[in-house]
Amino acid sequence: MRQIILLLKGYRGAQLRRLGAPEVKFQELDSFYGWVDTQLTGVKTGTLAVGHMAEVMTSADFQYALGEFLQRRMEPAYKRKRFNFEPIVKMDTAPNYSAVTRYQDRAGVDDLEYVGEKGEASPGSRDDAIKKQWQVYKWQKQYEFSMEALVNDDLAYFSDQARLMAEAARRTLEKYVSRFMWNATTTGRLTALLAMYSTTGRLTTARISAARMAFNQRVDARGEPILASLKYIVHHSGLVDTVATIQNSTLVPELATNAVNVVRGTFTPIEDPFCAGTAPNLPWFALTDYAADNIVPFILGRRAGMPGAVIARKTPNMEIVGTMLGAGTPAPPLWGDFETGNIVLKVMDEWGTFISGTDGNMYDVNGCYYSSGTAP
Amino acid sequence: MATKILKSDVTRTKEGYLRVGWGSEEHAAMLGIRPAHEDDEIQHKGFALIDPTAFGPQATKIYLKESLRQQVEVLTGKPPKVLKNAPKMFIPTGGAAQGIV
Repeated sequence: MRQIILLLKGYRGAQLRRLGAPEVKFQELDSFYGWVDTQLTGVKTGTLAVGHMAEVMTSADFQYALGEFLQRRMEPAYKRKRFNFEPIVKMDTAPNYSAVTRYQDRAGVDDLEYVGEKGEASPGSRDDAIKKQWQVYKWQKQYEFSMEALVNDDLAYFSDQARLMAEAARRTLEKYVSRFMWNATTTGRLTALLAMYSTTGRLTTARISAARMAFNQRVDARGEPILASLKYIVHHSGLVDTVATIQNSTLVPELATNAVNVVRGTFTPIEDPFCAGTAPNLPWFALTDYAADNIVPFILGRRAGMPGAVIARKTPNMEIVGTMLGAGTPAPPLWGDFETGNIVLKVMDEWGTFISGTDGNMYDVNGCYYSSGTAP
Repeated sequence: MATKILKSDVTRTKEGYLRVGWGSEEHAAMLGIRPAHEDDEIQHKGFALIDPTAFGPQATKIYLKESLRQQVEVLTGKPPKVLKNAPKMFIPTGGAAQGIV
């Protein structure tokens, strides 16, 4: 190694001579390589002060220090896509963690009958209501930090931990609701009901019209026509431009044509970033407006008094009672638990939905229409 | 060309839902198409639009043909089925923590 240093010194000296460097540069050269050589041998000659070396290296060190320590900062994190599911999911509350029961009236009563003179009307009947039950569950995640990690965090990396935890709670809920539509049980139920409740068509104006026709022909449990209007289309992220084209065109968008786009503006699109699909087979899901038609496609239950996510900290079980620094000296702040000094945070939420082995998560099948998006 | 004959297939499930058979006469009606007649100007795979005039006098031929093609692909294709990558329904099992994956 010392031979290499010697060669480097000779090479640098030749470079300086070629450049016509002043004598002082050659002195710096001696100091620098002499210092490195001294460090390698471990023998201090007393003639090469370390201070000389530091001076020679100042410029590079300073830049490094500026770059690594003074100019450090965190860049803003990614922004997250949201699934604004609220319009398609009816909110409900449960008083506790037990299952709650709801009854759906899915049929009217008998039609009237002609009764002849002195004839007696036949007795009417009323169908049983449909019983539905659901309950809420706890959703949680906890994080444990060492006190050292928080004290050493000069970049404030953990300063937005609470915000990220709250965001994770919302994201989990969005995934949960997204799963209502795309899970195998829900889609299996709709596809088993065939043409009135599902299709294979990719999203086009013509297919939306077919979906609307399917909704328009829905009937109650007695086969009587009911008001069911297509209001929302939840779609894969890959269909954003397709939906925008359909929505923004006054003419039918799939072709250069002059036919009027009757579908335009008749539905509200909702992008679901958690919908699984691979182009060109991108699924979509049409739904009714539960507020207008009383057909509730999906339900999201929360416990009363727990309307949203909360963040909790485990109370420290340590208290500083004195110091060895003398009377009146304030105790240094120390956090965490007595045993390890760790700090524990937890984000918590509570929600649930209707779960059925037959209907999947659909609270009312009449509010749903599914397309696998496979037919060209 | 012989006119296609579609079968009627509408039943009601025990819950009262209408079940319209895939490729049935009623399915074709929902899609706005019917078996073509010889004199139908716009045809695709033996089918024609029930009412080509429904799209207005300005509708071009290429538009009508494409509308017909899209609906015929659905009618004559296989019924929809659960996608291979469809996730399972989330059912809490109790016990260990369980995420949505």
